[in-house]
Amino acid sequence: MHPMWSNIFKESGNKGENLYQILSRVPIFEELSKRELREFIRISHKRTYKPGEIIFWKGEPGVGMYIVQHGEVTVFSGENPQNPDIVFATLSEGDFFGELALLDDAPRSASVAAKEATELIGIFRPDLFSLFERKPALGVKVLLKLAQLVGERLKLTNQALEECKQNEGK
Amino acid sequence: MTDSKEKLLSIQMDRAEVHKLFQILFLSVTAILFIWALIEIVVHFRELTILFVLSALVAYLLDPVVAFLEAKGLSRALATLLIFVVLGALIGWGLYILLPKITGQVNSISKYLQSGNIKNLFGNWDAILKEKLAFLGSPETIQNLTTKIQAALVQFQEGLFKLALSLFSALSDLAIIPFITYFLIKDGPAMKKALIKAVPNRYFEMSLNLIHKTDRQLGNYIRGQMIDAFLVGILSIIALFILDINYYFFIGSIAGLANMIPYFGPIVGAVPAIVVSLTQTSSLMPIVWIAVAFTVIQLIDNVLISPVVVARSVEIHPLLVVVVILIGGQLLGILGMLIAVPTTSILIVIVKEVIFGFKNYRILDSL
Repeated sequence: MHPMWSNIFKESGNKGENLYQILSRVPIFEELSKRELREFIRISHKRTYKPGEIIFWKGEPGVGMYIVQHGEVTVFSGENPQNPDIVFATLSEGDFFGELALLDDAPRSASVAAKEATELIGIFRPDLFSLFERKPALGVKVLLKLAQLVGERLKLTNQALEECKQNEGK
Repeated sequence: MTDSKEKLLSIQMDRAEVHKLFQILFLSVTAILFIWALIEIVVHFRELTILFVLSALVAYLLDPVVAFLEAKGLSRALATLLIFVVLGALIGWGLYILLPKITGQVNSISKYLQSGNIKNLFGNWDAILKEKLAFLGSPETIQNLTTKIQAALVQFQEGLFKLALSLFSALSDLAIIPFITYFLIKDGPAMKKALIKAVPNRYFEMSLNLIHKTDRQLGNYIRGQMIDAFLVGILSIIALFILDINYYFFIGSIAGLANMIPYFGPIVGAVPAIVVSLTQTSSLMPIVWIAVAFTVIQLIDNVLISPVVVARSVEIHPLLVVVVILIGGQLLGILGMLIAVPTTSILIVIVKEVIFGFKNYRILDSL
C-alpha cells in the first residue's frame, strides 16, 4: 500500500483493534466473539477528560459503565478530587467502573475523576437495551456475565462483613 | 467575633444564590433564543422542513421492522435496503391496482371544480333550507342565512378539494422522501452518536438519557398514530362506500389522516363527506347516516383502537392541545397541526428531563 494511504488507514485500524482488545479484557465481554464485540463498539462512546475533570459525582443517576482506554482515574469520596476524603481505587488502562448502572439508574455510589489526561469508552444502558432488543441471544450472554460479576461481589462483601464481625467479637 | 463570621457566611451564601440565579437566567434566555431560532429556521425553510418531517415519520414507522430484521441476523444497511425493495414493490402493486380509481376520482373532482357550476348544485338546497329555517320568521333573515350557509359550503368544498389536488401535484416533490428516509434509517444510530459526541462531558450522561427518552416517546407516538389513522381510514372508506358517497376512497383517506389531529380531526374528517353528500342529494337522511357512521367510528377508535395501538404519550392539558394545534397550523399548515401534539409532548419530556438533570446532576456547579 502506498505510504499515504497506509498513513490514513493506520490510525482508524489501530484504534479499532485497540478497542477490541480492551473490550475483550472486560469480564462482562470476555467470552464474546469479535463479531459480537463489534456490536458493542458500535454503541460505545469515546470521551476524553482533562486531568482533574469529574467523570461523575456520587449521588448522580447512573446511566452506564466506563472502560479506561488510556490514562488513569480516581474513585473517591468527598467534594474535592485534588484532596479527596477517601480514595477507593485508582483505575488504569483496561479497568472498568460504573457497571451496575447497566442494570438500573440507582445513584452512583462514589465519585470518579480523571487523574491525568484520560480517554474512556462509555457503554450506556439505553443503547445496551436497544441492542438486546435486536440481539436477544447476545443480551443473555452479557447479562449472565453481569449477574455472575454482581454475585461474586456480593460473596466478597459478605466475606468482608463476616471478617469485620469476627474482628469486632475479638 | 461569632456574629461577624455568621454575617460573612450569610453574605457568601447570598452571593452563591445570586450567582446560581444568574446562571439559571442565562440558561433560560439561551433556551428561549434557541427555540426562537429553531422556529425561524422551520418557517424559513418550510418546504425542506416538511420533507424532513415526513421522512422522519416514515423512518420511525419502519425502524421496528429494521430492528426485527437485524435480530434475524441481517446488517442494518441490508435490512433497510430489503425493506425499501419490498415496500417499493408493494406500493407499485398497490398503485397498479388503485391508481385508476384514485386518478378517476381526482379527475372527476378537478372537472367538477373547473365546470364552475358548483354554486348551481346548491340551487335545490335553497328551497329546502328556506323550508327548514321557516321557524326563524322573517324571510330576509332566512334568505341571508341561506346565502351565507351556501357561500360557506362552496368555499369550504373548493378549498378542501384544491388542497387535495395540490397535495397530489406535490407528489413529485415527495419523491425525495424515500432517499432521506433510507439514510435516516441506515445511519440514524451513527447520527445520534455524532450528536452525542459534540456534547460536553458534564452534560453527556444527561443528554444521552434525554435523546433516548425523546426518541422512544416520539417513535411510540408516531407508530401508534399511524396505525390508528390507517385503521380509521379503512373504516371510514368502508362506511362511505356503504353509504354510497362519491369520492368515498378519497374522503375516507382524508378522514383517516385528519384523525391524527386531536379534537379537530374527527370533524375535519366528517365535514367533507357531509358536503359531498349535500351536493349528491337533497335529502337530509344521508347526513344523519354519515354522522352516525363517523360517531360509531370514533367510538370504535376511542374504545378499541386507540387504547391498544396508540402508545401512552405525555398527558397534555386539552387547552394546551388546542393552542399548540392552532400554533402548528399557523407555522406549517396541516402538517403543523399533525405534528403539534407530538412536538409538544417531546418538549415536555425535554423540559422534565432538563429539570431532573439540574436537580440530580451537578451541572450548575460546573458552570
